[in-house]
This record gives sequence, C-alpha cells and structure tokens, in this order.
Amino acid sequence: MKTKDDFPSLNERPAEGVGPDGVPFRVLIVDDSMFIGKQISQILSSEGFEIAGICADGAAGMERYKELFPNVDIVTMDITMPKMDGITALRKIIEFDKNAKVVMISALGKQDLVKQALVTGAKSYIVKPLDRKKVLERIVAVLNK
Amino acid sequence: MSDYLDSGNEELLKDFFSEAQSQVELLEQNILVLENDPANRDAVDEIFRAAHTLKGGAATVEMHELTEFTHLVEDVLDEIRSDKISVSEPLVDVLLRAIDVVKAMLDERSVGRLYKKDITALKNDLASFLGEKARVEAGKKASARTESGPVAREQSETSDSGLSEYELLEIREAAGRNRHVFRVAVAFDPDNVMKTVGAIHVFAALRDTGTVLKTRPDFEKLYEDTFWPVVEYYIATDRAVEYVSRRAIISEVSLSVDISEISFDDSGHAASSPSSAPVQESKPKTGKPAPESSPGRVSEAEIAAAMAAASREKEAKTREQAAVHKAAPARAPAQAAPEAAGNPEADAGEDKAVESRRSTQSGGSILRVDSRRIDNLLNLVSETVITKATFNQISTQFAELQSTFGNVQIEFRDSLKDLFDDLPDYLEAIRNGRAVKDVKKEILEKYGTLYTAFDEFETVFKGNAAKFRSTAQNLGRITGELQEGVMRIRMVPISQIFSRFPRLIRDLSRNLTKKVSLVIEGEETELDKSVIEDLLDPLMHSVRNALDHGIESPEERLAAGKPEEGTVLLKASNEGNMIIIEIGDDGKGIDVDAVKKKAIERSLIHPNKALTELEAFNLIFEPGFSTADKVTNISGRGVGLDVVKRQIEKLNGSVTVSSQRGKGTRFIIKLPLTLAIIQGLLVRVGREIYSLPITSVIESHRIKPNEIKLIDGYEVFNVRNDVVSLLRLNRLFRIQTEDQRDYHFVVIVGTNEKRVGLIVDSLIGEEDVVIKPLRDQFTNSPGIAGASILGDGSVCLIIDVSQLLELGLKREIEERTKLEMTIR
Repeated sequence: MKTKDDFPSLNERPAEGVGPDGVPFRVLIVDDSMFIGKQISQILSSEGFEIAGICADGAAGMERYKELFPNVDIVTMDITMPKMDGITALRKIIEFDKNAKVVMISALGKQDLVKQALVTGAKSYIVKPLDRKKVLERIVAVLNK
Repeated sequence: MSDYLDSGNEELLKDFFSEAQSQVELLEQNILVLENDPANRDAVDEIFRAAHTLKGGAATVEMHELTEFTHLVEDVLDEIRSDKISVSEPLVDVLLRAIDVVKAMLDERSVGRLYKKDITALKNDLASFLGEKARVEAGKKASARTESGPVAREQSETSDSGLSEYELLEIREAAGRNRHVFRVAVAFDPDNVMKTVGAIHVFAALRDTGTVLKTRPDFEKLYEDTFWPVVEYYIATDRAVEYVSRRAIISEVSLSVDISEISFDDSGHAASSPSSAPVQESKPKTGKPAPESSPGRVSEAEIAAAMAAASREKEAKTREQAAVHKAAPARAPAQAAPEAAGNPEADAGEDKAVESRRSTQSGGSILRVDSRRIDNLLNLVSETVITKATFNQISTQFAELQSTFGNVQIEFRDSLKDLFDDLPDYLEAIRNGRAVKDVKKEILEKYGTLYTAFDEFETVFKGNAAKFRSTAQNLGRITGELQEGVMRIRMVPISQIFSRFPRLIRDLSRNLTKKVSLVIEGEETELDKSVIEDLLDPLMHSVRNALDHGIESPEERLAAGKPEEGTVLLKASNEGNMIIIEIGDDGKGIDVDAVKKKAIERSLIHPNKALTELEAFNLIFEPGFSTADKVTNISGRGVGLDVVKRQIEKLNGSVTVSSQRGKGTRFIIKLPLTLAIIQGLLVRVGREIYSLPITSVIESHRIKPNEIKLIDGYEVFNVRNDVVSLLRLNRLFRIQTEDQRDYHFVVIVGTNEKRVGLIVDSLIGEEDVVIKPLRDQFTNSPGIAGASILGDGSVCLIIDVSQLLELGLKREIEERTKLEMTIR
C-alpha cells in the first residue's frame, strides 16, 4: 500500500531533485552492490534527480567523475568496495575537484571510517539500511549548502 | 522506516535475493581458498566485502535476524583481516557453518518464512574467536541497543563554563583581528544510529565556514568511539552567525546549536556578548527547552531537558506511527517491524505479507545477461527492420513491373493481331504478283518491334530478382544470427554449478575421512540456463557417489600403491552440439562381480544371464540398486544413480559409465547444448531422409564402388592417405536399397580422433532443423537423437553421431574379440 508520501504531488512543491533553475541535479552513484545502487537510483530518480552514472568500484567511480566533470552535482560513495575503497576514491575526487560534493554510504558500525571520510572532505553520510526520507534529506541538504 | 517492503518493490527484493546468493557463493569460495592459503589477503578482503554487502542488503530489506548474524560474522572476519586472529581449521569450520546458517536464513526468507532454529551455540563459537577487546566491544554494542547508549564519563567537563585565560589568548592569536570568534555548542542526538560520528560531522561542516580553533573535548577525543552529548567548537570566521548555525544543524545529528560570540577586550579577557546568541533549533517543535536564557554557555540541565523532550517527543511519534500502522494492516508489518522485533504478532503479520508478495512474484527467475549480448540483439533487430523495408520496396517494384508487363503485353498482342489481320492481305498481294521480298521487307518494318517488345521488361525483372535474392540471403543471415543471439542470452557458464563442488568435496571427504582433491576443468563452458538448473542434483549425486564408493580410504590407497590423496575430476566440454560433463575418480572402480551378485540378489537379472561388462555397469543405474553393504548418510540409500539417469534423460541427455577395476570410474553425461535448433545436413537413404548435425560432419565424398577396400573384413576407403572405415546406413537401419550403383556418397562424421564414413544414397543439402524429442517407445532408439519436420512437412530423423560411432566401435570390438577367439 502506498501512502500519499510516496506520491509527492509535483504541483504542491517542486521535486527535490530539480535545482532552482529547473535543471535536475546530476548524481553519480558509486556502489559495488547492484542492489544498493539500484535502490539509490530509484529513490533519487523518483524525485527528479538525473542519474549521471552508476559505478561498481572506487576506481571506476573516480574515472567517471573526471569524465563527467563539471556535469555532475553530487556523488554517493559506498565505503567498502573492491579495487579502490570509497575513502581513497573520495580523496582522489577531492584532489581533482576540491568542491566536489560527496556523500558517503556506510553500513552500521563503521564509525571510524565515516569519521575519516568526513575529515577527508565528504559532505555528509548516509547509513545503511537506506531510508528514502533520509537519503533525500541528506542529499538535498548537501546540495543546498 | 523503510518503504522497500511494499508490493511495488518486488523487483528490489528479487535483486536482493539474487545478489545475496552470489555473495554467499563468493564467501564460500574464498573461505575455501583461505583454508588452503591462509595468507591470501585478497581472499580475506573479498570475504569481508561479501559479508559486508550481504549485511547491508539484509538490513535494507529488514531481515533483522540475517543482519544481526552477518554482523557477528563480519566482526570475526574483521579480526582476521586485521591479523588479530589467524586462520585455523576450527575457524574455517565455524565460518562455513555460519555460511550454512546464512543460506538457510535466505532460503526461509525467500519462501516468506523466518529462520527459527536456535543458533546460539554457533554464535558463541563465533564470539569465541573474537579477541578480548572485540568481545567487550560487542558487549558494549549489545548494551547500546537496549540502553540509551554509553555516555562519555567526561560529560560533566563539557559543562565547565569557560576556558583558561591562556587558552583564550591562544584562540585570539589564532583568530587574527578581523574575524569573529564564535563558540558553537552543539547538542547531539543520542538516538542517531551513528551518534559517535556526529561530532566529526559537525566539525567537518564548520571547517568549511572558517577555522576551527579548538574543540571541547579535544579533537582526538571526538575521534574516538565515544558519544559526547554536547561539544563546543571555537571557530574563527568572517561569516554571520546565521550562516554558521545553519551549517552546524544537521538533521538527526545535531539537536540544537547555541552560538555565542567571544569578544576580546584589550586586556585580553573574553566576554561573551549576550546579544549575539540566537538560538537555532533543528526541531522547532521541540523548542521550549532550548537554552534561550543562556547566552554565554549551555547549561547542562537545559540540554538534558532538551534532549529528554526530544526523545519524549520522538517516542510519542513512534507510538503514534505504530498505532497508525496497526490501523492500516497491509502496510503495518513492514513498517512496524523494527519496533516490534521479536513481537510474534508483528512477525506473523510480516510473514503473511511476505507470503502474499511471494505468491505474486513466483515464477520467472532472474537471468543476468551481459549487456553486450542484448545490444547485439538490438542491432540485429534493427537490421531485420531494414530488410523488411527493402522487401517492401521490392514488392512495390514488382507490382510496378507487373503493370508494365501488362501494358507491353497488350501492345504485343495488338500488333500480333494486326499482323494476323494483315497476313491474308499480303498473301493476296503476293498472289497478285507482288514480290515476296518486298512483302517481307514491309512486314519486318511494320512488326519488327515484336522481337524486342519484352527486352526492357526482362532487364528490369532480372535486376529486381537479383535484389530479391540478395535481400533474402541477408534475411537468412540475420535470422541465423538472431537465433544464435537469443540462444546465447540463455547461456550461462557451467561454473555457476561447478563452483559449489569444492565445498561439497571438502565436507564429504572430511565426513568420510578420505583425502580427496577436486580438479575442475572447462568451467567456462556455456550451457542453456534451464539445463544448468536441472543439472545440479544429478551432478551432486554422481560426485557423492564417486567419493563414497569410488575413492578408497587413505590406507587402502597406499596399500594399492596409489597416492594417499584421491582425485575427483569434474570436466565440461563442448563436442559438436552436445556438452559433455565428465565425473571421474581414480578410485577402486566398479566391481563387476559384486554388481552381478547384487543384481541377482535383488532379482534384477536372472542368475544364468551372461553379462557383458557394459551391461553390468549399466545395472548400477537400476532403481533400488546399491552395492554398498551399509547405508551411509552420503550415498548408498539405493536412490541416487537411477535418479541421476532419470534426470539426465529428462534433459534429453544420456549417462554412460566406464570403469576399470582398481583404476577408477568415469561417468559421462552428454547433454544437448540447447533444446531447440541445430543445423543439419540432410541425406537420403532409400526413401528415408536423415539429418546429420552439421557440427559433426567433417567432409563428404563421391566414390566409385571399387574404391571401397576390405581390411579384416571391414569396408574402408582412403582419404588423402588416411584410412576411414565405412558404415552403410542402409544396413545399420535395415533399409532396402540397391547396393549396386555407379557411385556412393560418403559423409565423414565424427571428431578428429574418431571418425567414420557413412554411406548414403544421396546428399540433399543443409538446413536448420528444429529438434523434437522422440517419445514413448522410440526414446531408446540407438543412434537417433530426435526427429524434425522438414519444410515440406515430412519427418526426418536426426542421427546421433557420437552414439553411432560407439555403435560401430562396439560392434567392431565385439567382432574382433569373436575373431580372436576363433583363431585360438
């Protein structure tokens, strides 16, 4: 059963994923779990975000960011990933673009890694299990700052 | 609260299961790698990551028992990864057991039930591997779940009002003249799942606004894994208060923020300016208790009150939500679950919801396909569309051509009619003395166009026909590729099931106290998905059988002069349009006498029956047959090999067994690559048409009867200095044909090492044939793989070349041994 919250009326308020100029925010999703990646993209695209890409590991995510730049507004980055972990990828992205907006996706119990990421330059973090409201809230908060 | 369990998200749930499955496999594989090579860092990382992903996914779909359990496993893995514990046999055992539990949990969940078995013992085992410190931490975490959470003892210090003069001086120096210095006191939400991260989160946010000069407690302490309810940050910035406070408020992280400016008078004494302390609250509703009256600093009592109010309100909110959910039962189970963990009512509700969802999503499994294969298909489809357009064009051209033809024909007829009408006049004129030559000339002048009337039409027609032909050819090529492409979509590598065997072998060999190593070959061989799914059980049975009955105990092996460790071979390969799976062992082989005895005992055969070795081997596939004297829990229950045979036959395949006493046994399973279409060479024998799978046809020849030579009474003929034995299909299938003819057609079939020439009456051509299985009394026709219906509706039989070769070979061997007997 879906409640009204699941069907936001676009007439009442603008979709969260659309910037003030009416252009959708572009999101790059980096996550080795296809499942989580899909989930994030479902949540975000339902709010009008544009999914600029989904990458399965840190190295690919970083490359993709460089490719897309500057046509990308925000990155969601998993922490534990094969090839290159999320924190290394984050560091490289920040080196490349110091204003990059990266939101970490972390599992419970990884406080130390999240702290490390925040100190490195991540703008925020989201804890798995993902919750639609929280995901949107955090991402919108980062974009509006 | 997650909305991922509602009916709209079955797809996501499906994804979860498919991903969880692959993670579990990954876990298992790498643990086995680790067992053999404890220093393998990659394997450790891989295991850790898989467990981690699994946990994340499970938490998302709210499978709490799974989350909790995988979390424990992950803790153990973390210890391994950080080299705190080393990989040992008991550890691997416990981990594998844990994986079994995870599998069982997933299985239960996938049918909409909860895993109910007691796993406390296993949990304790897992916990026993955790180092002392980790165990304490785990304990702490556990208590954190029940209580409000550990609160740092130094908490009281934070309420300590000011800083020492020296510290203030330091701050002032660092801030410089032009910037304001603010003290930002942030109260954190103790209900946040990652509450210990909050202080750093705010720190990172404030860092962007200016320079963070100092924190209380110290930054190092913030970085530790403790929760500080209130943290003060001293920052130097040129931004306005509002901006800073906006940055410091992070929903669900910080509850309230209190900012006051620290101004310095000339003497260096600090004074908080009361006017510049607006209060910002993340939750306006919580409002009241925020420290409005405390411009200088945050009083402990007020914060406590604020937090209490906040948590009170939260509680009320959740209660309210729960009530709402109970009123709306369909949605309730999914949402209420987190609060009501362990509440049987909610569980039951959830079960029901899962079940109902299950019923709607049953049927249709997920197949992961390389996207390139799909792209390729799409490409082909677009080509067919183009070809269709070409055909349309050709058809209009033909229509035009037809009308042109009509016009030309009318003209032709008219002038022909004129000619006939004129003829009597000409005859008359000749009779009246007009010169024949003259008349001829006139006729030619008048009707000469009759010759060339159709020339133009012919040229255009020829062009069109050529175009039509080439387009038809094109279409043939595209449909061929399309067919192959669609087939390839369903093809998955056999490694999908082979990958389960290392674990199986490990457990079995341990149970049986035998030493066995597994060799896997050709795991990249691709097979139709539907076939693969049904292949696991028979393979499992066969491998179990090989281990239990084939491989001897280490002592016996040493006594027989074999290496202590037995070998089981699992090999897949393509042969023509068949896939061959071989399960071999180097054990004791099949004891033909024992088989015979047993078969007589069970009255499967008559005591006087003379058995060939092959027949004896095939007896082990009879239902109710078992040579094992005692029933082990692995095999020997008398169900097994007959089930294997039945299941393989259901897939249109065949199982054969060959064995050598003392050397080993080999099961060979042959399966059709796909269950659908093959290319065949059609040949005629008498009035029958047979189809030979083109993949097994090597070449064809036309030979004169005198080229057939006899060696040992066998018909052979020479192909480029090579002798190939001949098999007359008419004799094999007992079809009456004329043997005396000027030429014979020979089709050489088989593989490079084993081939035979088939004598047929004539070759018809190549065609795609759709295989239809033979049913009922025809299922066991040797040498025939199936039947097909040709374009004209007649039936042709498809020849099973490998069986044919065996048939020929068997006959050959039989006759040879007979011959040798007579010579002696």
